[in-house]
Order: sequence, then structure tokens, then C-alpha cells
Amino acid sequence: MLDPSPAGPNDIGAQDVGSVPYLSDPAPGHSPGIAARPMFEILIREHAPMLQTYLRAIVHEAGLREELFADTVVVAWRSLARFDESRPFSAWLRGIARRLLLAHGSKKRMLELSPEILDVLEDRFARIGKRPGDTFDDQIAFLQDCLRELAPRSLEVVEGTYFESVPAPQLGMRLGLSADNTRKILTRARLALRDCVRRRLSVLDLGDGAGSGA
Amino acid sequence: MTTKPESHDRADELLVDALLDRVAHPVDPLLAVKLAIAKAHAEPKQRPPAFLRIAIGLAAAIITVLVFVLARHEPESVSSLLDRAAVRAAQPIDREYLLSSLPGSMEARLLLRGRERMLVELRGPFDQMVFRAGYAPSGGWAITPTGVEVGEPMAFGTNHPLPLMLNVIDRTLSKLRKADDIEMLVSGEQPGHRTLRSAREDVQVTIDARTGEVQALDLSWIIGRMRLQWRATATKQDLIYEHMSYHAPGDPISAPSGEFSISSLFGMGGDFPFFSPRGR
Repeated sequence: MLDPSPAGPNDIGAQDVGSVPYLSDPAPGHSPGIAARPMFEILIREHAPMLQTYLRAIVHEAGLREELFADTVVVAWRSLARFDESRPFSAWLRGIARRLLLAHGSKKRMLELSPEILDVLEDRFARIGKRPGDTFDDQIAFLQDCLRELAPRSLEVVEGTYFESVPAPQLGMRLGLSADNTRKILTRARLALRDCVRRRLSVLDLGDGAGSGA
Repeated sequence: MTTKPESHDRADELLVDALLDRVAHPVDPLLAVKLAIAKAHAEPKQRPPAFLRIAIGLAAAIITVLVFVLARHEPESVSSLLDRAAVRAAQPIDREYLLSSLPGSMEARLLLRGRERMLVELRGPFDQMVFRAGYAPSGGWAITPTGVEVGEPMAFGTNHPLPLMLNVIDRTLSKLRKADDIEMLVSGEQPGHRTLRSAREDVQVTIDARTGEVQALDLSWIIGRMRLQWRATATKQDLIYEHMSYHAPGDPISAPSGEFSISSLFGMGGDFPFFSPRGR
């Protein structure tokens, strides 16, 4: 069963959501003192790649992702006094980003993700956070192993699509394939990568709420 | 509670896409982090009390009605009366509001120009770039290139609320700063011109390689629900502001095109390796 993010000390209140354009102004004096700044900046720098990747997963539009990233940092700073230090900072940041997205989506009807999908994503990022490695990039290095497991043609299609941003028709021409065939290979490669990522993150038993324990 | 397998499938597909994007484009988020932290550390905005804003709004409305009543008798005085009414109604409050609304990386200098219209000079994070903004007689804020009087019809984006205007400036600078994937194209059409393009930041700038003057500019932003596209082509130093439209589906609103001189808005040199230094 997935943790539906119950209210707790690390929750941000509704009053924190909603300013540029959907964060509300906090009460005066709500921001932490100046002494907390260095530590906050270190934490944000450390978790920025994770947060950006999380936002990449939940938001398609680059401009909105930038906004949500900045707004997440703003809300985190203003809500820092309520952060429970016994819990992971990364999960707290994702919780803020998620609530901002929900606030944004409900207003602007841009949200396409169900809460259940967001719960599963939270589970996956929590699992990544438990992997060995000093940085987020270290923790997701397993993806390189997954790429190496792909068949050579699939790898070419994945690299062309993701690393070079070549559209399927042009990529197909380059590889001597039809556009449809290229898309099929890409679909199969993504499924293979998905299964590989699940194995690496020890995600099992998908029919029974395997994401519990995040 | 159980989670549907299709939710797992969709979430894992999104995860794979995001991870591949991270591995394929491991962009150092330092600049984004710096800007976000600067924004986070900015003091909370202090807007004037609601009753004060309502009172000022009412006063402005009454003055406007009076002006039009007077204009029936003295049509030639409408323009100056409107100007003074707008300044009186808005200046004291907006001056405070502006200073408390600035993004952390910007500095503002208040200038008074012409007939006591308020003019604000905004700098940063690039010291070499100056945006000027003023409270237009029409009641909104305008981003005005150096050398153009505030309130002139050619000013970019009249009638914007102040936070939006600041956001536009902030994003322009942010895009230019973050364009680390920039590629340089040597234009075959215009010798000596170079086009710098960053696909990821959605920014394209054509400059005269010798003087650094901006010849063409193509930027777009998504700000909330609004999509701003600022396409500028230049002959010498004229800029054409083509359109701006709301991004809400089925709700296109286009502003009329206009032209204005950008004089030294962009070709200032300094931090950018592709802008050759020029005096201000």
C-alpha cells in the first residue's frame, strides 16, 4: 500500500500554497532567521537534481517546471520551521512540489496525473533515495546498466531519441527503418528499461500495491 | 488500499523518461538553484491594506470620470489631466509596492522623468543590462527601452500588472543566463551576423558580431497561464514586438504589433561571451 502522505509535521499548510502566481504571501516574520540560510542553501543544492528529475516526471512543460522548482524552494524556505529533521528532506521537497502542482492543476486544469500515480512516483523516488551513492546522479547510475542491457538497435533508437532529440521519422531514416518501426522499437525499449528499473529498485508484486514502504 | 497496475505502469514510464532525460542532459542546476534561493530569501511582500487599495481605486475612478466630464468642455486638456490623475492616484502606493516586489537579484532606482511620470530603472542580475519601467498613464506598467519615454505607445507591454512585468524581465535574464547549450550559427544571409540559439531555453538571439548589437531576438515564456512570445527583428536598432497571446485553450488574445527603438537595451557587453563590450 502506498503512503498517501498523511498530514504531519512535514506537511505544508494550505496557506503556503497559492503566489507567483499561486503561492500566497506568508505571514510577516514567517521566514526562518538568517542563520538558517547557509544550511538551507546546501540542502537545496544537494537535492536540486532530484527535484528537477521529479518535476521532469510530473510536468511536461519546461516553463512550468522552472516555476514549480523555484516555488518549491520558496515554500520550503518559508516553511522550514515546520520541517521535521528526523524525516528525509528530499521527500519533504517532493511533497511541496506535488502540492504546488495540485494547486496549479486544480486552478488551471493542467493536471493529468492521478494521485495514485503520484503516490507510485513518490515510492520510486524514495527507493532511489535509499540507494547507495553520494549524489542523486550516483544513485541513478543503475540506468546505465539498464541501457547496456538493451539490444544494439534499441540502444541506438533510445540514444537518438533522448540524447540527441531526433524525431522518429528522421531517426528512422538514419537507421534505415520506417518511422513506425522506429516507434515500435522505442516502445519496446522503454518497456525493457521500465522492467529493468523496477528490478533495480526492487519493485515487485505490482498487482498488490507493491509500492508500500516508501 | 491497493494500487492499480496501470498506475504503476504509467508512473514507471514517467520515471524512466525523467531518468533518461537526466542521464542524457545532466544539466548543472546551479543557476536555477541560485535564482530560486534568491527568490526564497527575498523578504515577504507587504502589500498595502485592502481598504487602502480599494479607496485608491475608487479615487482613481472618480478622478477619471471627472476628467472625462471636464474633457467635454476642454478636449485639449484630457491628456495632461489623465497623466496627472494617474500619477497622483498610483505613484505613492506603487513606489512602495515596486520596491517590495522586486526579485532578490534585482536593484531598482527610482527616476523621475518628464511630467513627473514615475520611471524605474531595473538592473541585474547582469549589471550591463538595464530595463526601464514606468507607470503608464493608461494605468499599468510598461517595460520601456532606454531612450523611449514612459507611456509612449511603442513601449513593450503596457498595462501589465507590476509582478508580471518583473517576471518577464526576470525570465529574460534567466533564460539568457541559463543558456548553456547554446550553439552558434553563422548566418549566411547577413555577413557578420551570428545567431545564438539555445533549444532548451527557447531563446534565439542574432547579433552583429562586430558591435554586439542585437539584430533579432526570439524569446518565449510561459508565465502562469499566459504565453508570451517576443519576436524581434532588427534593422539597425528597431525592434518589432509582434504578438502576445493568452495560453488558455480557445482564448487567444492578440495585442497589436508595434515598433520601438531598443537602443542600448541589449547590446551592452559584459557577462556574455557573445556580446562584445560597448560603453553605456
